[in-house]
Amino acid sequence: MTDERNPALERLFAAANRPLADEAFVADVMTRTSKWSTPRIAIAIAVCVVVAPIAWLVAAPVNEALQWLVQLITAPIVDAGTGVAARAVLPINSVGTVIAFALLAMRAVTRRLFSARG
Amino acid sequence: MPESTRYATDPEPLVVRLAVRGDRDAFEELVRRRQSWVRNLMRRLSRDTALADDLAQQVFIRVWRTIGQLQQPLRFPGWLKRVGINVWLQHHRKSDALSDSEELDDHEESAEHTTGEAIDIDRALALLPEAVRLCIVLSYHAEMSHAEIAEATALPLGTVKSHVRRGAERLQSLLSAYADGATNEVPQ
Repeated sequence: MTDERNPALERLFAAANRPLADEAFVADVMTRTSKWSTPRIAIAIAVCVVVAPIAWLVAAPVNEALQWLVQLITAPIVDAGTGVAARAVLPINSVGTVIAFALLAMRAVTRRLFSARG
Repeated sequence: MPESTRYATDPEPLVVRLAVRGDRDAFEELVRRRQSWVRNLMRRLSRDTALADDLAQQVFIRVWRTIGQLQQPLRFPGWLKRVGINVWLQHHRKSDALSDSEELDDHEESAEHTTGEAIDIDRALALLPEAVRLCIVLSYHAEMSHAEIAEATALPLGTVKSHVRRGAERLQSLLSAYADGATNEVPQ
């Protein structure tokens, strides 16, 4: 069966699709859509009120976690003392370097896998 | 010129573009231009004029909330159609009426009592099962293809074709007496 329509029904539907008075309907829609903005503002304020104390509460733990992370990635893998030589090799003698190399290796492997599939 | 008629003579793509940017006067003009079509769609789908108007209002409220997502103004008519169908389907799912397994034959008795009276198209549509009426209205009022109806309603294409064919036959038989009696008068 095709999408062909019954011409008699098409005429009836077209006739039934008559213009309707718009004033009251349009006014109602505009009133209801103007009310819509008020709850959104209220929701935004409520979210701020809830988020602000939560952010204040978690600020200290997050700060401590970041400090711990910085100490971890700058920690030397091999203890080379505190001399100038130790400081010079610190950029490659740290946990952060190992993590960076690991990430680069993973990226290279992933690319190779995807290019092999492509 | 009053604010409400500011865009009365402007082409629709321009008015849509302004509405997308949050211009409420442009949106009001779109409501004015499209309200008859949307309200008539809901009147064909529901049997209740008040409910139809309420659903049509929900359509335009949703349009106002989401029109910012409309990328291409030229697609507004199809997009509005889709919003209207979604509003109807959401309303319908609340009562779970689409899932009923009513068949056309279930309505034979009530149809027989009505045949011969001056029934209009809405009353004739009201005698069809919900899913059949939806397919018929989307085909004849919204002028959607069977494939589009299947996509919009999530009904299988074969079911849509069957609903449209059987629904059209039933509608024609219901309306035949009226069509014979009436000349070219618009049903009221």
